[in-house]
Amino acid sequence: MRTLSAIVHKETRHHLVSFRYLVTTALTVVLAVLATLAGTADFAQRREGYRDRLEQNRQALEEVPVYSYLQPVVVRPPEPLGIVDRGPVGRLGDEVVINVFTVPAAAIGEDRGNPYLASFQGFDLTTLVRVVLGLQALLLTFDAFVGERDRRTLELTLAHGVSRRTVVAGKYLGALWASLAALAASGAGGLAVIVLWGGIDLDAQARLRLGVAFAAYGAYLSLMVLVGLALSLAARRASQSLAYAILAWLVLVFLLPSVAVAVAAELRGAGGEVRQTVARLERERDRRLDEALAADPLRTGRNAHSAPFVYSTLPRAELRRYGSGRYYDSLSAYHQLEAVVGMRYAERIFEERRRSGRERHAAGRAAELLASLSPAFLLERLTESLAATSAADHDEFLAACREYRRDFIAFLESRQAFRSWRWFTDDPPETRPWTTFLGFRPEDVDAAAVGDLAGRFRSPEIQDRLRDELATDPPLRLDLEGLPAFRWEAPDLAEATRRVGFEVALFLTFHALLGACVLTRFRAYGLRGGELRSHAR
Amino acid sequence: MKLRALGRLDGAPWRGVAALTARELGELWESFRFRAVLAVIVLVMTISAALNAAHHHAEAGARPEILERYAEEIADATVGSLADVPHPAIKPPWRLAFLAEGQQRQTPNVYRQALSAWEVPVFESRHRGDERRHETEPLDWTFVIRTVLSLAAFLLGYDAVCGPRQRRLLELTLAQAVERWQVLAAKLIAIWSCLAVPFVCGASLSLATLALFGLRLTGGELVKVTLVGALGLGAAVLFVAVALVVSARIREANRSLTALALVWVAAVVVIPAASGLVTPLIRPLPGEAGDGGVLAPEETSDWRPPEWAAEDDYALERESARVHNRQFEAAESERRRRVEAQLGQAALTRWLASVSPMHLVQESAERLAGSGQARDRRFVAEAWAFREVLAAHVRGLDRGDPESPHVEFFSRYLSSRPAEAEAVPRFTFDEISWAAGLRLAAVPLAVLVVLTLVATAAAFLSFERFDVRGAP
Repeated sequence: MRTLSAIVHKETRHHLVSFRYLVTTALTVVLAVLATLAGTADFAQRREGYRDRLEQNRQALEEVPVYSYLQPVVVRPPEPLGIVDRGPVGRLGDEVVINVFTVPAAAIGEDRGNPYLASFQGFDLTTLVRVVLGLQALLLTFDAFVGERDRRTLELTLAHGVSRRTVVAGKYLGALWASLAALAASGAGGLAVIVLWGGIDLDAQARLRLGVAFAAYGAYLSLMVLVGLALSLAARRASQSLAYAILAWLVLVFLLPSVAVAVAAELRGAGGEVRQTVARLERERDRRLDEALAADPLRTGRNAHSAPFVYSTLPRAELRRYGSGRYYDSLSAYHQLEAVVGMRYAERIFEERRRSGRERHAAGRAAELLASLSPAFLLERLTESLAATSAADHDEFLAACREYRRDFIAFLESRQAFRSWRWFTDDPPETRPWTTFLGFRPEDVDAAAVGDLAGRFRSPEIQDRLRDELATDPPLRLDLEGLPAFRWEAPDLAEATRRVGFEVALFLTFHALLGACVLTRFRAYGLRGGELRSHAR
Repeated sequence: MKLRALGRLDGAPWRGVAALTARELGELWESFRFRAVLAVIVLVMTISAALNAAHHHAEAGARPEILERYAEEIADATVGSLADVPHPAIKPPWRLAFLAEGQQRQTPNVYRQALSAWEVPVFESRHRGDERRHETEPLDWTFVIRTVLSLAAFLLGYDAVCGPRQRRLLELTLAQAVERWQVLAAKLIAIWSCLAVPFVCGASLSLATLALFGLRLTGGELVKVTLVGALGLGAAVLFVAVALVVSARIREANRSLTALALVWVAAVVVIPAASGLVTPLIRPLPGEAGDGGVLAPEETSDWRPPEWAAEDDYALERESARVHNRQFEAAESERRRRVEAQLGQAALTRWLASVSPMHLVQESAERLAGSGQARDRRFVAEAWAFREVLAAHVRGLDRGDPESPHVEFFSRYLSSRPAEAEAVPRFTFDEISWAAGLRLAAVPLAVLVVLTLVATAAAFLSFERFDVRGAP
């Protein structure tokens, strides 16, 4: 152990004072501070937007006049650990409108920043570790064996009776400690920005996740150290090993993920077929509902019973005023059917979308598996899951929205909202059809006279009267007591880790394979080679 | 002996260069590095062409879907209802994405605008793609030039000077009475050739793949391809010169490659990333909070049905329309100011990132190809201008109907005559021509040329003063 400790100590000290280490570490720290500064500012802006939207939605709910207008908007809170790994969640939206006629399958909203700056804004702490610290790990290890062999110091070390396994372990741990020190320096810079400048108070769960994310960074660096050691054993000269290392880095960090992800995207397609199916189903639904609406002539066109005031600013929501009781009864029957048909089609459309999503995912899986050969890609998957910014987290949010929709529908049913006039009007139960303002009961009005009466109803005197009445005796707002509140929290650490079990297993497997490869190769490693043996390029 | 003979040929020093180049090439071509570079460049360029061609076909296929829906919407439209229909202006799928993608799969490509003041126009990004996927660099020729070719140049050139010195070969070579500039020129040409060959092979295969996928390039597009290809070959000279400078200044091969790797990371990753991080801090976008009232014109419920409003010649509606149109104009100018601010922020980022020669190469390639921000700006300008074309068309039709109240542009208060769907103007996007692209790229290209000359001169100067005696 003492020998191992001495080797580790020597290796670490050697790395810590080297030019390549100092430069890469300085670069990393500066970039970490910059990346977290930008991430923190972005998070603060999103958080402010989130709070504003919550307040707007709360106020909008207070103003809701009828049940059909009751379409709560749920918003996903921004993830503080998005500063560490932005993940794809920012592109997927954070807002879902809950209503009876749609099962949430996608989100909208969220200020996604400047679209013309997209390719410059993906830089976060994870990218930094993946690219710069990954390279640093390779730069620290490319000459671990071949360099010492060229300098003949390896022969000397082994001549002192140090076992080969100890040498490997010492070199591995020495490079790893140095890499982790650079990671710690960048992490400290980033955290200082988050806490001191951003004033973001991370809760215990977030701190735990952050800790595990840093452990994942460490595991990635460990893997890159092993890659560097393996290449150092494979090359005949240090310069050759360095060339291998840089090529490996280019392929593992840039080319393999880029190519595999692009192939996966092409294989998945854009789901054009499902859009067509959805459009067909929507047309079918609308046709059925239009037919149902037209089934009663009372509900179509203008007549003495119909409501002259119709407001509609949301899909399938309407507010009517001054219709007759007969008209409202007929309309109520239609809206009951509309709710049933609408919910049925909503489920069918959602199932189509889900099926298509599964098929598309399966199509791109092979290419994604290819990308999984890259430790950089694996790290991205791991940290975005830990930061709760992965596509899977977005799916969880949508699942929570669907759950909330079920509760919401149960609330509406408990209020008998679908069969109530209150679905579409805030007129009192003892209605005052518009014709009564002109001294006629709707039953007594001849169809031919409706146009003339309607013109009189629009006269300034009548309109002023209506306005005065509304001002002195405003319609009652909906009583929304008992309306379920939407709550969503990112899955806990155990769930986040479970979801990336495959990636963790691959990380461990790569470690085991590379570790075994380095040990085996070094056992048979010739100690005399390099410059003296060959001058060939 | 051959070297001496060639080097001493009076008036024909380039023969010596040719002989040295041949020797350098022979060594390089047999090396693992060259083979790896060849394989990577050719593979990436071919895959990139296949992926981009497939993507283009899919996007082009999705485009008529929007237009078909629009055609359905206006099929039975009246003159009045044309005011409510959102008329799409579509930026066509970028055919030369394999050459310089220039963020064309991320930036807004659809602008929907109705003439009615009650409809808020929107820029949308409706790209065929998978938003759930991880963000990665687009694979195109520009990526190959900026990322792969530059790193390949460094890999092939890092020990061009210090390597032979360490092995004491340089001393021997110069002892043959060969001029130093000849040695360096030979190295430069040889390494450049080792980059040019894979790049040209990759480009040829890329074009062949595109042809296989049925993407036929027009004459203008082929000129753009040639220009970007030439840029790639020119950029390779710069990268090789940088490698030679570092190799001559740092006398140990490992250190030289380490330094070059760090230069590469700084130029390809750090500088663009830092520019993207810094710009929003120094030039933030105008906030949307507080101007929601301006951005969303108030709806009105006071408008009377046309048949009732006719009694007083639509007095209330005309007045209300004036207010709404004014509100719309204020809101629209606010929206446009925001888009301009976004484009300005992106321009500043690109300007800052141009400190990196690799980014400068990308910027030049995008401009030459007519992609990137130039294409985005043009789309925005043309989409905005399209509103006037639509307005003139609907106004013309409406004025021809004496029974119309002419309350512009409120559907129920305009002509109710049927509008001929085919006659409704359609948006067409004019791509940037190669000549215009060349003009746009003049400044970055000039800077690149200067950089290349400086780097090459620095390489020669460094080598002239280089102590060729290797370590014992």
